[in-house]
Amino acid sequence: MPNEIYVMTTRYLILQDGTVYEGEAFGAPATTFGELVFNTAMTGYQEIITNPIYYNQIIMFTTPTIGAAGINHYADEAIVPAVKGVVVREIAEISTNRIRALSLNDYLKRHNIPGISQIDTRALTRHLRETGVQKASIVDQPDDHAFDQLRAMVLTNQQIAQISTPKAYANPGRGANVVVLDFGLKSGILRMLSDFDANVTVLPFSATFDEVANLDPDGLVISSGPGDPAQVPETALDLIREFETRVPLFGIGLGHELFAIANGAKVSELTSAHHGMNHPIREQITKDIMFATQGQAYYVDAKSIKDTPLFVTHIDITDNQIQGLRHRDYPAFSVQFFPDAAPGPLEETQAFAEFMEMVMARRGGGTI
Amino acid sequence: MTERVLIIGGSANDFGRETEGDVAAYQVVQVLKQYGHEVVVVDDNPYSFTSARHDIQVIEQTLTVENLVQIINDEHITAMVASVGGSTATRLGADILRLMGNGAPTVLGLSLPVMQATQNTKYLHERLQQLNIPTVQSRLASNVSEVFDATRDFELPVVIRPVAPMGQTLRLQVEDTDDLEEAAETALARSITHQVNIDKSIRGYQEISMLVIRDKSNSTILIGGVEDMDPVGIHSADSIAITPIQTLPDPVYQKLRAAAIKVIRGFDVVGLLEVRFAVDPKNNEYVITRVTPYFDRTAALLVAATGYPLVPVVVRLMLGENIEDVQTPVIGANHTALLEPTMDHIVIRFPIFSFGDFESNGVKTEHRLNTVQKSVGATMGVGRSVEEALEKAIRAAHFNNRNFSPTVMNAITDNEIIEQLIYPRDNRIFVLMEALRRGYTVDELAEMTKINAFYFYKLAQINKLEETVKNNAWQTDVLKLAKYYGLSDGLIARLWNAKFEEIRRYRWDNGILPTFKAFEPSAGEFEEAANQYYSTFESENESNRLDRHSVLVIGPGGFRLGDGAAASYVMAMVVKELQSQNISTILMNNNPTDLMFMSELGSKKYYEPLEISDVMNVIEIEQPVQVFVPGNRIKLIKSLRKNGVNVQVIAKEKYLPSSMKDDLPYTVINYFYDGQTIYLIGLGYQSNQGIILDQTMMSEELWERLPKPRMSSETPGLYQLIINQLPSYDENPAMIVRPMPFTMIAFLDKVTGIDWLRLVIRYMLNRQTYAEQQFLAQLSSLDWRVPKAQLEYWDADFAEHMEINEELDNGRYAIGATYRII
Amino acid sequence: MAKEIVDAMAMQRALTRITYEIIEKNKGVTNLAIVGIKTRGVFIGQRIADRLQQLEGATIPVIPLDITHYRDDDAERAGEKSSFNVDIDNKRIILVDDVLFTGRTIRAALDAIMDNGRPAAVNLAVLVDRGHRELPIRADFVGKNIPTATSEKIRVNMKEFDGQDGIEIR
Repeated sequence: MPNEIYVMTTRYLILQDGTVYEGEAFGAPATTFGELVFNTAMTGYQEIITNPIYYNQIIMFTTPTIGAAGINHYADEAIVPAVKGVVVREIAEISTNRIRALSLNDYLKRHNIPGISQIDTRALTRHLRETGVQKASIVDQPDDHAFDQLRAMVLTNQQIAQISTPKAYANPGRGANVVVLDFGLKSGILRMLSDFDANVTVLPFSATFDEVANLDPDGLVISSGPGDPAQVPETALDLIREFETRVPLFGIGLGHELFAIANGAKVSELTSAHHGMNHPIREQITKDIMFATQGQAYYVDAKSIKDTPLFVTHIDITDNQIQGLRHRDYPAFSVQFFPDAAPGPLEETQAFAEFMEMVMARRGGGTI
Repeated sequence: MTERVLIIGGSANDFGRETEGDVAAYQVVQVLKQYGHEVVVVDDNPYSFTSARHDIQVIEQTLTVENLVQIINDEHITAMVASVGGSTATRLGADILRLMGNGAPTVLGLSLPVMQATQNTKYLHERLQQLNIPTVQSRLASNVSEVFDATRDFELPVVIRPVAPMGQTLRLQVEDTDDLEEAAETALARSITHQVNIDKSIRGYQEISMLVIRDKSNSTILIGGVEDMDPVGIHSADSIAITPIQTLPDPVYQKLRAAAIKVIRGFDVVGLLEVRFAVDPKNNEYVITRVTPYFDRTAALLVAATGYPLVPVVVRLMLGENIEDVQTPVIGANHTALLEPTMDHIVIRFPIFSFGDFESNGVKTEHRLNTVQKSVGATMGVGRSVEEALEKAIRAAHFNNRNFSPTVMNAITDNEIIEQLIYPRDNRIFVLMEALRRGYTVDELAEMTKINAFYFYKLAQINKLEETVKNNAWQTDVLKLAKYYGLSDGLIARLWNAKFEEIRRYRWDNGILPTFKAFEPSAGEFEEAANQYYSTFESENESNRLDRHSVLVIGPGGFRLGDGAAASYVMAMVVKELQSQNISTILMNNNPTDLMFMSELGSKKYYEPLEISDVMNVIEIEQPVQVFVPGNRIKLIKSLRKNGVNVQVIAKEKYLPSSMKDDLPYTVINYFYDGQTIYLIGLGYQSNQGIILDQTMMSEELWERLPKPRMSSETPGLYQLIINQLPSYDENPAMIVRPMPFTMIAFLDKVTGIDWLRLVIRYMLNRQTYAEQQFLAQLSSLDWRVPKAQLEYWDADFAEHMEINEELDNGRYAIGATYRII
Repeated sequence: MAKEIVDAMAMQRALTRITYEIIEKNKGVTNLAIVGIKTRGVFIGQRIADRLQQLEGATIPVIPLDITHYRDDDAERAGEKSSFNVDIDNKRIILVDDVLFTGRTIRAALDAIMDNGRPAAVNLAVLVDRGHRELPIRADFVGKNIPTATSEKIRVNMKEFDGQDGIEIR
């Protein structure tokens, strides 16, 4: 019997602070750079890897094994994954789903994304918990050259421009007319809107007032996306200000941060980014506790809400940070977490039901 | 308001009823007392740790609804806990509510519907249908044509059961249309009402459990999920179980999670509910097969696996607190009990079977696994990969069992392999690995066994690893890899034809050392106050020496046939006493249902196999001054001593002396030995049925003249002498003094009202005081708590579980017991 | 047979949305008072008040209203005239009921309110609008529009009163 397990390619994960981890290569043999973030979810690796918010980032899974369910294209959150690398303790090179099309390893190879396994991810998580987000690289040799390159690497701040759709496209339905502004849209949002049979048009993040208005939307969704909301052009904020008074508006993730900024609130960077699905989120109005996938590096500053027309609808109980906002005067609201449940608990999908109820109410027809 | 709370005990240990209920009960009492409530426990289990407490009222009576109603009235009970005594307590809780109606005390956290649904699937199905949640499809038919109608709707296979059967119950699994008519006629003929139930068969579905907790304000969180490796058709306790769930894609996982939440809300349970699913691997559709509103093995496993303080939290919810407001000492400061546990390690529960114990005594058993539980215990293995967790779990379960030697597998024929793949037995994991070695593909095996291909992939990895190790003796990087994936020093020694000590030294010389990781519910995201660890071989070690005067206590491991619960009781008592002596106590064990690992016991815990290499790894970190080991671990004790470890043995006699052929009662003389002097405690009788302890048997003359044997060892402890009849004044009795069996120790504690082990430990530590000396000197005037009581071995129905038809020696094989005051 | 057409979750959400709409429409919650029509309208009104309290920290009075006396389809005109223990002059009243059907109950409730003072405005919030109006009455806040046959019955279950939440049709 061949000693297959013995055929390993050693590669290294290096961090900007000089930390080196030795591991085994999987996925593509490329050298990669990105911000290293950890994710504590135990399921949904494919949905996580394909979420466009991970543009420029290397994801480390704290769950020790991923890959057991292979790759299933119903679980894609983008056509092309934007993640820069995958770090884990164990990868299962198998596809056990019905379709048996592809293993995680093959999938990453096809998309030229490197991964590294056999890493003490628990040690690294505890390290990142102390240091906050770090630049990291997966390399063949952890030498000075590699560190020089890593430290010299400047990650683009044009992620949204690179990832947003260049052209408008339709995702037709027979129901309400909804426009989605794409800041790095994940498929889960469209899937949810399809569940309500919405007639969706996706516009680039740079869409103008007229481009939106010409579609005569019944509602507007500001999508999630990667990066710093401060880098988003002012035109997008103007658009939010214009349309929140006209139609029901729903911001998600980055869209939530933009909704807050557009209405005068302040957004800051978290010292330690949070990615997972186990934090309790409280809906303030009912005191109900719910769970949802979270992936955030920024947060809306609670103190800055006071002088805005917004009020807080959701709180993350672990750190008391804002997870949801609503406009006092208009049917416009936003959530920091991912209500599309792809992956993640299903309970917050009702945010879409809430949005669509508003949209239908505006159309003057019955409720859904 | 101060409540008078009745805790309904679980009675005798049995198949599927280890000490998990006792662990929960003990902690429930702890919280209730803390909140100022008064506690009454009713139980007749002589091995119960909870009812050995001296700070509560304990009533030992047979657990019948009539007795309980009487107690409720006499004791002015205002509330009941029915979730710590297994299904017995839940059934009794429901019966009490039905019998007493509005006058019944409230059952904390449980609604009548959920208690009924636990007992009777009819109630479960009705409620689930109202909630729009799928259950096993079932239909009533009264002629062959209706049977065919139902089968056409359900699709084959189906199960046909006669309604109100004449004679024994009957379940006919029909796979083929050709067999349907005959099966239908057979079943109809067996029914008194000429009716049959047709159920859609779920054999081969994947079994998944999810445990959710809920507070009175409807906040609900998922504590965790457990996946059975074996499909429906093998009893879940006999299955290898894995947490966190490995093979479910996220949408399916979330669908089950949402259903579990809907069910706990739908049944209005405040507390915990385990929801068991069967998932059709073809289309990921599910049905709910049962709900469990009490602490059982799954809850125990998840507590161990996640580090979540489940019992203390759940009791507070039952008392009306919201999860959000619960603060317990074990939860980190910066978040609440609401955080859903997430894991960064893998835990595997591995069943222990006792076929070997029967067979070595010439008793025939049936090894095939089916829907009736055959395992008598389980261990857990923890690691950072499935391979590592599985290797450690197997090691923990079979530290001493020839049947599991891989060399036996070489002898198995190809035909036997096929037969055993289709009809799995207790050793199936080795059969599966052997099948892989003989060239079966992962897909073939997955199809034949209905086990998810992922597990074959992992087993193949283990095969490859062992092969690599075998072919590369004394290669450092291979050794490193082997340790990384959980192979023990012992196994590597075998593969390299070396001695375990040589491997160990080689490992040390090359710096391949274990790293210990904490169990905590946030996967490293938050700083947690963790005190539970497992080993792996990675870069960061989180466990450091606790202090310079600590002791290490080795647990009894997974339960085997016989006195598992009593052994658990004894070692828990040892720990409790060490703790009360203010000694930092480090515990090592691998049985998640064991008493020893409850949060009230021990300063620090290691979930590890208990082979010499594992114990030495912990000793190297902790450097304890002394190691307490149960007396039956002879090999371990020898090896530890060889390694210069200061071992203190808790003496143990495994078997009672009666046998199948010899049904005569014996008289037992019980002693306490302080290391120098032997003291008479009293007399007992024992027979195949049980033990009687009777203070009234002792006369002044007996106190004077019964033999005081001379002891050869200096180990303090409880001992006994077996004689044929009284009086026996022989100064040199023919039979040798032996350690008192653990079952007897537990029973003796209950009857005398004395924690004898506390005394033993004090003498072992040389910390006895004048009070203890006085006490021992006046044993003849000690008033027993109960002057006369009888322990009866529980009839665990070996005929049903093990398909054994011979009459067995109860004293030897009994899993549990009850006792009553005479 | 009863059929649940709105589950507890959706019912909660409808109440939540009504609450948000009340804030939007009234530009805040100052000067609000809730009048709940007995029995379930009171519970719904209380829940809305609780939600407003959660969000805005303001205590909104909830006035229970028994309209038996005012029903025009009740030949005997039984029951006492309802009298409020809260001053409603110049208040913005949210009148709350579970189901809006013919509109006669609402008309009666308006009579009762007017008997008790002179509010600045009255808005109507209902959990279900089932159609078949016989009077020119329209709700400002609607949880669910549920088309029904006149022969059908709509039943709103409230946890406080019925043990669980949900809307059934039978």
